[in-house]
Amino acid sequence: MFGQYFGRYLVENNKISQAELDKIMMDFENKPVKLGDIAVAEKLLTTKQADDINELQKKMDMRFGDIAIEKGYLLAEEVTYLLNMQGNPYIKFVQAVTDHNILTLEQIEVCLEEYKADNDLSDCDIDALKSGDIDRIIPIFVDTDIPYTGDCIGLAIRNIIRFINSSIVLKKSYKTKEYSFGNLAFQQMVGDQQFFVGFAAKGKELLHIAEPFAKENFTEMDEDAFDSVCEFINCTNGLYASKLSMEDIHIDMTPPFFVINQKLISDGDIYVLPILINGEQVDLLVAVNNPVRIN
Amino acid sequence: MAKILMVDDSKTSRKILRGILEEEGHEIIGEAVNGKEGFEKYKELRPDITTMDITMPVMDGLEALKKIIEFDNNAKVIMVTAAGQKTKMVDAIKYGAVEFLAKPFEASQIIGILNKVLNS
Repeated sequence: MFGQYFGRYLVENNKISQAELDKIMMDFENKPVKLGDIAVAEKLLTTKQADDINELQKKMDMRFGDIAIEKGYLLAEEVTYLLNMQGNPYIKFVQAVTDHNILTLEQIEVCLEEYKADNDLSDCDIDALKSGDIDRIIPIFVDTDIPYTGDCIGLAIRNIIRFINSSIVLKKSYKTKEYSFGNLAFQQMVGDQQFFVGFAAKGKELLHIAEPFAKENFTEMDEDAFDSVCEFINCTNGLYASKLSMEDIHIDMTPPFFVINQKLISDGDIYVLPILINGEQVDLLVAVNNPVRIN
Repeated sequence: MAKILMVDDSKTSRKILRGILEEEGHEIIGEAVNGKEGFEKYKELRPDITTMDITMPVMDGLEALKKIIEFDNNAKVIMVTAAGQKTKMVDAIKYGAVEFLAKPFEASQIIGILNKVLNS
């Protein structure tokens, strides 16, 4: 995760080339990074147990390690051991950069200070990025204290990482009352609270969600590709509705829809979180208790 | 091997579910994209099992379930739900659903539930 953010900054600011970043990222891809894979390799879990946990993760918004402990597959100490094995993404990134003689440690430190200043990040934000912990990274880009909106966005991001692409890059969220789009897939939820949740893009970028979710290649944002994005939203919202029901807040999901080349208008705020998937931008849109019209 | 009718407005869901069921040797004898069409196809095809999504346009899965059970009290209808639809699941049990499948789909869960329903 750290490599995606900082690596991208290094390329954009001509500190390293794209080819060098690709070489660095290859080092990550060749090593197991998922906790389940490491647990199986360490013979602390069977493949079946790891698969069970992965499947449970699809239905509940919990971390792999927490589910493993709850199921009695792992002890808390074993999860800590595995997390240490998984390693710190920052250290791994620095190691890969220096191993390939791309930058020295001193150069990396200077670039990191520039990255921090350019992006208005605090030491705490940098620590969160270095940790690779998505729950600490999300609040850098989204104000998670906003009732419902922050939670809803956080869960959607975790599901993108689980089901769609683990190498996404988040940009700072913003709010708007009007939003123009080329393609939009969305779902509304009604009941104790009203939600509008959608994914939008200028062009074919939503294919980066449609293809991995349907496990199918699409050439265009046709009806089938939109259907896949809609179904992903439906599953994500289902998990969120489930979470809310435990707090005695009941909402019903309406059928998801898609529209093209129009504009969203709301009297209240529509929160927009730009997400880079495979380097292309998709916007996650969330509005809570504000009617959203499509014009 | 069971003859199955799938009712779901999402083509992606139908495709994933069809793949899992056919892999297990079951026959998909029909598909419908909303509850209304699902009820019509049920009357026409008389499947062993119907998988029924809950959230659909035109007629939702609960309404279609009620109609199917009114038509055939022995119908085996498995409701397909996104995780959050707990109150609707309670209603579905009341109306006569035999089981639930949760989205996103997991092959082992689907096969286990189907075998349970077929053996009941």
